[in-house]
Amino acid sequence: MQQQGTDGTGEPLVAMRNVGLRYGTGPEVLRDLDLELAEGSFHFLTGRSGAGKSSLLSLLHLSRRPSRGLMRVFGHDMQDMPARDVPVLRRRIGVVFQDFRLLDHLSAQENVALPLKVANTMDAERIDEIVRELIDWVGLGQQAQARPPTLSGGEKQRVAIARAVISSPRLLLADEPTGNVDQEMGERLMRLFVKLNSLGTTIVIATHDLSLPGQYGYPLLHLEDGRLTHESGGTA
Amino acid sequence: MSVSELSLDRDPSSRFVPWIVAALSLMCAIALGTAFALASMTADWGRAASDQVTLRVATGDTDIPALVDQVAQLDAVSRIEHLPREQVARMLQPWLGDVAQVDTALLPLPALIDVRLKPGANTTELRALIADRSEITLDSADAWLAPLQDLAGLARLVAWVLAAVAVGAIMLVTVFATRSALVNQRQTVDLLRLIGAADGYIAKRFQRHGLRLALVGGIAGTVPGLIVIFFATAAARLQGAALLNGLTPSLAGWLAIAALPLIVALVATFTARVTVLKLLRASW
Repeated sequence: MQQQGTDGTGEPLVAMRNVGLRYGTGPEVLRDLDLELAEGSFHFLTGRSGAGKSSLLSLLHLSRRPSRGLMRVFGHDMQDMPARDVPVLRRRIGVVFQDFRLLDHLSAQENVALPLKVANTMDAERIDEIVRELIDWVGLGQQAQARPPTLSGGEKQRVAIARAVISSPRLLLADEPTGNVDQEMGERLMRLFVKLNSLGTTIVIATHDLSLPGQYGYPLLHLEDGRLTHESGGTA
Repeated sequence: MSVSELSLDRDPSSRFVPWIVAALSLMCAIALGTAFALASMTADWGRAASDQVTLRVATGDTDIPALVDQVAQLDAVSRIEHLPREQVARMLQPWLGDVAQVDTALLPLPALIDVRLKPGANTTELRALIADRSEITLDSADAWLAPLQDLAGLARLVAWVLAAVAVGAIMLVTVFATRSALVNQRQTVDLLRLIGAADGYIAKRFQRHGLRLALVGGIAGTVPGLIVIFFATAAARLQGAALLNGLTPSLAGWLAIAALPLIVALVATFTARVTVLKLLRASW
């Protein structure tokens, strides 16, 4: 894997030029995307249902390759990236899903520990230590051993967020993170994202709730019919 | 964390794998036992046949004691015995009845000389000695053993083919079970990849699962297989036919059959790994 100016060079964390995405032989669901995500920035990604938010997130969390165009992530060209090198990049990206995607047969603590376990870079004791600390930080110290089916929606979302940030990702993607929780929990989760951003994590939150961008004032990426518009300035 | 991310133990596609592997391992063990037992038996035949020949002398003017002395002096010969006339008569009884009643003037009985060769020796000297004596014929067991050896060789080949088919079927079962498990676990596998799991990490979970299932099935099939081979070969030897005396696998053969569960487990592990890696690499 090439190592090109990912640190201290001013290069955006993610850069897309004229990117398109199609599934199989179908029509393009994303068209002519030009996008730059600067290190430490915070963006809201909005758009109607079917506008392509999930498709764009799937490009950003490296689940798909663009069908055309140029895409660089952490300084690496995705077009030439061998499949065996992709997992290392994915470990630098945290993802929070609307449906949480927790493993029901594992405890909250075990779910949170997964990214560190698969990275296999530290021993089990150190992992336990970090997980306990993070579980306390998201306010789930008492539910560490609980299995997801016994947790509320907000608790599940916090487990999912803890799992997404445990390996200190440089980029955090969240798909409708407040969609399945009440307003109070939604606000608590947003405060959590703001705090993570203040610690240096680049954050993209996909939401259909247009009041959120207005509340927080971060730049807005708006998708319409697979095309991206940058509706406000800011750090993007 | 002790719990596996993939709940493969509860995967319904794996439920019957140990049973199928057990049945195939039983078949494989019996096929291998047959192949090894036939190999021991034919080796035994070869040893017995290679050092024993018979000189058949048409009665007439031949000086048998002088011939015995001549043959005994050959380097290749370790022991020689002129079979008594009574013994020859007994050997011919099934065809001629009571030899005492036979007119030996019309049907003269041959003299038989049993010759044992030294280990590794051949019959070249002996054949040279009797080359110009037409009344003497050299009988070697090779002549009638050869077709039997060929038949046993064919049976061994069939047994090896059956064993290979059983191993191939175990590989196929593993491929199908692994593919089904991967489909059933697709969401978890996708999640693991998303959080940075390398394909090898995921494949390791499936190969461990395959190893465990195949080891259980392999043991469950091989143990009864060993018992069947032991009793079947013992029963064949008890029939009393001298030809079947060597019909039992050698020690190395028994050990190879006993190692079958390990071999099956390794085959399943390798197959599961290759299957998972191939499927995962098909997608980025």
